[in-house]
Amino acid sequence: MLIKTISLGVAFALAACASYPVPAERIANATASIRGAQEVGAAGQPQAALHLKLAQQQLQQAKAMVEDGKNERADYVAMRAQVDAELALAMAREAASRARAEQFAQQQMSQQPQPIMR
Amino acid sequence: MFRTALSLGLVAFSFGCASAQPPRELIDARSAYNRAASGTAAQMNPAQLHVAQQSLQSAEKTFEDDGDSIETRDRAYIAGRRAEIAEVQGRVMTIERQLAQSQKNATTRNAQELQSTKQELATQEQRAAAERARRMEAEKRAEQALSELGRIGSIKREERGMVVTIPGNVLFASGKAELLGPAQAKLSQVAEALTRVDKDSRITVLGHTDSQGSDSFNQTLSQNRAESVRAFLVSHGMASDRVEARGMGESQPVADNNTAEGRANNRRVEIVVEPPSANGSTGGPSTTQSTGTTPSR
Repeated sequence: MLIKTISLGVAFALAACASYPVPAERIANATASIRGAQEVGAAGQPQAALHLKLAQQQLQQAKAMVEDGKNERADYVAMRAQVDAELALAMAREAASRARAEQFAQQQMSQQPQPIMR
Repeated sequence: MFRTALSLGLVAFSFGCASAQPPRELIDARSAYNRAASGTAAQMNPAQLHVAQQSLQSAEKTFEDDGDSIETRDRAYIAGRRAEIAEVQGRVMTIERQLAQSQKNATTRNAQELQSTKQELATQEQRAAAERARRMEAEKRAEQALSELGRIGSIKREERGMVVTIPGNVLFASGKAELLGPAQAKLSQVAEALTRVDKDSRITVLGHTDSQGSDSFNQTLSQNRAESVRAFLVSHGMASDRVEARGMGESQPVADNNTAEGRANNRRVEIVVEPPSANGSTGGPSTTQSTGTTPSR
């Protein structure tokens, strides 16, 4: 009775693995997000570059897992790649915003107030 | 008995993970969320913060159900990243908002400065225009005064100033230096006109004779006549330190002394109105700088 239960459980688990779909959309989204992060210059900002690299590594992992038939795991790893890419993009945007704010502040300071000509 | 124990053991095994320590990813995710929730994200981008919160709750649920499983770690990792994204986006929006406000303030300041500069220039322009008008008015009055003088004698603009020439026989009897009665009425007009001319001008009264008679006689006569005219002008409102009298005798003829007409023309009094030397603003007519001396001919 017990052994039957166990085998049934294992069989069920195996079946569950086999019927999980290939996370094609998730992998496509992650790929697009990585490209987006690269386009806003994430590679040039240290913290953003770190997360960009993580995203790229995890995307590779996810693709390898798909080839191994581990679709469910691939789905999660692709999701991790996605959020790392999004974080890289956000950090790159922050660096750009700070740079613009700094540039504006310097412009304001370098402008002497104009005296009225007499 | 053994089967029950085994089943219980299996049950215990399958639920045992639930009481395990949370994985590092979950601990990190929790603190990441707390950081994000206490930052600007709550105000700036609450939607993204909410997504992060739901992610974390899903990870917590998985941890409750499955314990420290791979799925728990994956969900926790994702939740942690989402919290960081919310935090960073909050900062970005704060920076952008402050920058927009600073730019708006700078634009307003520039507009205000431009406005006050324009107003300043307008005021200066008004003052300059008023000054120009005042000067033109003074010049006009001077011109009017001098044209009135022209009815009494002739007026000529010369290098030494504006010269009003009055024939000697209008003012004096032959050989005398006392002003004739009718002459006084005319001279009072002259005095009145001269007071309207620029107050800084110097007035020089010059007496001239023809060549008849001795030099010394003519010198004395012309000096006395000049002084008579001067005294009259001063008594009729001209400041005494403004008016000077000089006798030129027969030294400066303007016509031929061999004809009667020429001699009549030489017998004259000249009233010279000199423009002020240093002060540039004048209602006087002459544009040459006066050195105070009359050029000798």
